[in-house]
Amino acid sequence: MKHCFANRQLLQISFVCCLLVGLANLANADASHLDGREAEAVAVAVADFRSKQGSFVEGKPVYGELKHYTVDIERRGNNFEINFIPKEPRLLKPNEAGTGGSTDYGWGVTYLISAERLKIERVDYMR
Amino acid sequence: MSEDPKLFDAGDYNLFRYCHNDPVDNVDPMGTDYGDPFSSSDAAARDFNRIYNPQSIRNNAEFGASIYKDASGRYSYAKPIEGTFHDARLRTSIPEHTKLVGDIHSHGDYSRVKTDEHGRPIGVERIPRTDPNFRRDSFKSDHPSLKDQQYWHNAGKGKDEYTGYLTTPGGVMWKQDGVNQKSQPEQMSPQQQQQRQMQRQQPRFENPNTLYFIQIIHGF
Repeated sequence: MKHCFANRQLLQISFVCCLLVGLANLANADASHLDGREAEAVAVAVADFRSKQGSFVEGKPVYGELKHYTVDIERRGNNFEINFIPKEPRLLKPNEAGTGGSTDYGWGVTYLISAERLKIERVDYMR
Repeated sequence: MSEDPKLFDAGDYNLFRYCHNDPVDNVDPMGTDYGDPFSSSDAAARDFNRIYNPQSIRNNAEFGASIYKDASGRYSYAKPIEGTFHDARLRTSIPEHTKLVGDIHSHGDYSRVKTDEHGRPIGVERIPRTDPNFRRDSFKSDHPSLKDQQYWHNAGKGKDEYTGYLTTPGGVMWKQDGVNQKSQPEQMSPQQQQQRQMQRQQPRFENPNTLYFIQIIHGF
């Protein structure tokens, strides 16, 4: 009986700990919100992006792995503009700083997708 | 013999003196180049634009350089470095005792991406100016990319004076600084407007570097 009580107390403490950790994570979470239509447009862009992975220009990937990108969505009139921006592979030294449409991870790609038909209207690359 | 094309902007009261009277250490065949002093970062950017944008278009490669300010308050740009067709180095070495106040890069020429039968990129080629749709390139070369804007945003953080410039194959120079919070084109003079109109009517120009105005975009 005493053993059972101790187990119950342990469970209660574990539950409270989990709750606190969960709440702490929620408080630190970077909340992102996507409208349902925006999510559909992103899905279209991601599907196309993934279908072109494995392509190389001058020995470097064009459509890189998505984990190395940040994705940005913006409404432009009747279209969504979805930008896939490659991250920098490493911290650059001050004298190395530069800009341009690509990193070693891949190229920056911009999709223009119609909000109504969810059709890819145009694909541009960053430079 | 003629006077310095930059007049007093070259930083010498004698308009007929060559390379600040130091022809051994300096060469300046055109009368202007990197390292020359200018009254503002805009003036330095325009000089870069005039000299290096044609090279950038010719080579279809981006050129980049730092813009700095010296102790006497004059502006200049460091020696530009040639990058690739879509990458530019923006932190080129600046002289000692000067302050980094900006950067400038060019976008090369209009280009399109060659693809295989599945639409996957396999290379890049310059679009001939004889192509009626040469402006519709794959890179939106006449505009700063989101990555350019992010770079300027980060580079200008915590700096009281920092300006990013971009020169393009189509005749527009872009500027992003910490003061102007809203996109707006620089006011063009009537003469510039007339030139711009002529340029639009004759899109197949061989040397597009005839007229530039500054397009100001979001601040930091």
